[in-house]
Amino acid sequence: MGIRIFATILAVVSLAWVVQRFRRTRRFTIELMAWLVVFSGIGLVVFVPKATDRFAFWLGVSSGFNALTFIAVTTLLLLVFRILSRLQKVERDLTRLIRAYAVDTAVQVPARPSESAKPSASPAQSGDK
Amino acid sequence: MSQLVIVIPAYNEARVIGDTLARLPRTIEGVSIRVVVVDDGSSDGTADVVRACGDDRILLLRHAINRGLGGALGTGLAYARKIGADFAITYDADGQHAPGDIVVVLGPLQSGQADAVIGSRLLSPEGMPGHRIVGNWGLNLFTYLLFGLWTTDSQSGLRGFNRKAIDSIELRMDRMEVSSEFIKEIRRTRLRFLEVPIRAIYSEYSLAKGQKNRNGINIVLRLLLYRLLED
Repeated sequence: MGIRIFATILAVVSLAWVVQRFRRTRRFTIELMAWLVVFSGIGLVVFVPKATDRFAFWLGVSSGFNALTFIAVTTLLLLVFRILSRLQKVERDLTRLIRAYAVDTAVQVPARPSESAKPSASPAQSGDK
Repeated sequence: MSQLVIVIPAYNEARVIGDTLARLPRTIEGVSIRVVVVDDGSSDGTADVVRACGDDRILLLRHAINRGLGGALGTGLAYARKIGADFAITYDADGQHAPGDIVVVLGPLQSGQADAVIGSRLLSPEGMPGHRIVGNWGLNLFTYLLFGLWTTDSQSGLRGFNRKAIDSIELRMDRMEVSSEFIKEIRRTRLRFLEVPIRAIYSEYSLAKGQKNRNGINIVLRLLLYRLLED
């Protein structure tokens, strides 16, 4: 019973977020559609658990729970892969930006003045007696 | 006269970089020397030490934030490419290289024997700690399995490249794993490659700063990830 309440709250809040986002952007994107399918799916699975058994049969696994676990793990792995890929690209772009700036602002180290070129301080200037 | 750029990546090396720069050869026959120090977002005043060293052959490039060894080496090579340098040598800031080995690495490039030269500490590993030797061989093997080119010191910081290599090598890795990426790039771009024996000077400081075996695990993981995502 607890899982039904939890899943219902999660699905309702998430669907409300999806709807709110659609109202704000007025764009029905693939991402929005995916979230809609995922959260509607959660609601469906909780209230019509038998539906997953039919899906499991079609997938060739023993139970609906196994089928859902399989799908969830596969989807999460794909997401991690995608996020890592994006992260690597962002890191690379950051390095490229910092590199371009570093190369453009290179500073030459000033040469140490040679001993003969140094101005000799008079006793009066240096305060020596 | 050919132009040689010595690329020194430096991250929090204020304690030793002054000495490392002072020990660099003043002249090498047939080349004019330009030293490029890439301060990789140091917070210990490394840049101030470099600025105060009084050697106008030195150019200071600063990363606003730390990007890692690969990021810094890539910046140094980008500069060498920009000024059309004939040769570039990468050189560690921690004082572990013998300055005389710069000439040893440069030799085959000048004579046209090779496009890329790796200074190998393992061709004559006297004085190298045992655990370092084992760790290095492990990474050599891993680098070979991933990228198909055998080298006796895939993690060496002393490497040399001619202009063809400078122009063709594209570094994409930001951290320590860049050492293996150099090997991959040498293979990908079909550069003529040679190893020369160099001597490593191990001090308490360089042992503490250099690659530790536990870094090796990170390197392996990052190389695997790179292979998975990039290829």
